[in-house]
Amino acid sequence: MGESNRSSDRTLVEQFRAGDRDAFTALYRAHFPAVYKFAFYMTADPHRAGEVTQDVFVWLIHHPAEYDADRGDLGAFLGGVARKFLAREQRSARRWLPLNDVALPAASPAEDQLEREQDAQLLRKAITALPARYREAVVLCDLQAKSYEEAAATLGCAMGTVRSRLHRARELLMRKFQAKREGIQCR
Amino acid sequence: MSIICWEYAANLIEFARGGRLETWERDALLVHLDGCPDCARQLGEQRAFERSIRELTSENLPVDAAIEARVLAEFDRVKAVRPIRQERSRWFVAAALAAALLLAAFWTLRSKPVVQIAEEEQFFTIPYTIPLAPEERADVVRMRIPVAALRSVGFHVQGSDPSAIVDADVLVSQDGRARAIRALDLINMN
Repeated sequence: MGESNRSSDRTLVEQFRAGDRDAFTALYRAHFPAVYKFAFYMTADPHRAGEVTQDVFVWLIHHPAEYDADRGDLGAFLGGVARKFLAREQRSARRWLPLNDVALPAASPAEDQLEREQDAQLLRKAITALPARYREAVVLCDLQAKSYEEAAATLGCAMGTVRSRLHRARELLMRKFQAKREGIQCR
Repeated sequence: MSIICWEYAANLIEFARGGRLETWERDALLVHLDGCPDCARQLGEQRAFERSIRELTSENLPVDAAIEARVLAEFDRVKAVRPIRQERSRWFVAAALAAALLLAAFWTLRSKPVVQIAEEEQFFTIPYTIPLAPEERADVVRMRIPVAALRSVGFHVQGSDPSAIVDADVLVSQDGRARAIRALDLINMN
C-alpha cells in the first residue's frame, strides 16, 4: 500500500471517529473489495463472504479506537479482523457449502469458456479444501496479489512463514488440481 | 521434479509466479533449467497453474449490493445513540468512582471489633494437617466450636464437657483449609 493511501486512510479514520459518515463511506468503499474477496476466496460462498464482510465493517463501527495507524495499514488490519471472523464462523459452523451451490456468473455456451469455468471451479474447490493456513497464503498472495510483507501483516506472522506456506500450498494445489482435472478428463 | 532438485523448488515457484528473486538465484535457476527436463516441465506446469489463478481472479465476484446499505444504516444507528451512550457512560463512571471511594472510606474508617485475646494463648496446629510455612499468608476466623469437634479432629481437651462450646480463632490458609486453632476460653487444650 502506498504512503499516500496510508495517510489518506489515517485522515479518513480520524474523521470517521469524529462521526463523519462520508469518511466512513469512503473507507468502506476503499476496503470493501479486498475484505470481500478475501472472505469469498476463503469460503467460496458469496453469502458467507457478504456476512463476514458486513461483520468486519460493523465491528469497525463499534470499535473505532481499535485500529492504530502507527502499527500498519487499515487494509491489513481489516484483513486480520476478517480472518478472526472467518475462524470464529468456521469453529461454530464446521461446514462448507458445496461449491455447486455457489452463485457464479452464468455460464457462456462457448466451449472454451465452459472449460475455463470448469477449471476455475476446480481450482476454487481445491483452494477451499486446503488447510486454513495454506488457504490464507494463497488467497492473499496469489488471488489478491498482496506482497509477502502485506500478507504477513494481515496474518500476523513472519514473511518467511508466508512464503513457505504459499509454496507448500501451491504444491498441494497443483497436485489436487491436476488430479481433479485428470479425473474429469477420464470420465 | 526429481528429489535432487528440491533446492530449486522454492525459487522455481517464485519464478513462475513472477515473484522477487535475487539475480544470482535467477541465474542459477535458469542454468539449472537448461539441464533439467524435470524442472523445466515443472516450470511449465507452474506457469499453466499461474494462468488458472489469474483467470480465477479476473472473474466478477457476485456481491450483494445491500451490504453497504446495511453497514451504513448501522453507522447511522450507532452515531445516533453514541453521544447519549457516552454521556451515560461518563455519568456511570463518575457514580461508580464515587461509590468505590465511599466504600473504601467505609472499610478503612469503620471501627474494628475489639477482640481481647489472652497473649499467652497460642495457636495449635490441627493434627494431621500440614503446618503453615513461615511466610504463608492466612486469615484468622473467630468461631464457636464444640469441644466434641475439637476432640474429633485430634485435640486433647481436658476437663471439659464434650457438649460445651468454646470461642476460638481458626487460622485458615489461602486454600481455605483450617490449619491451626487458638482457644479463647479457658480450656486446657493441646
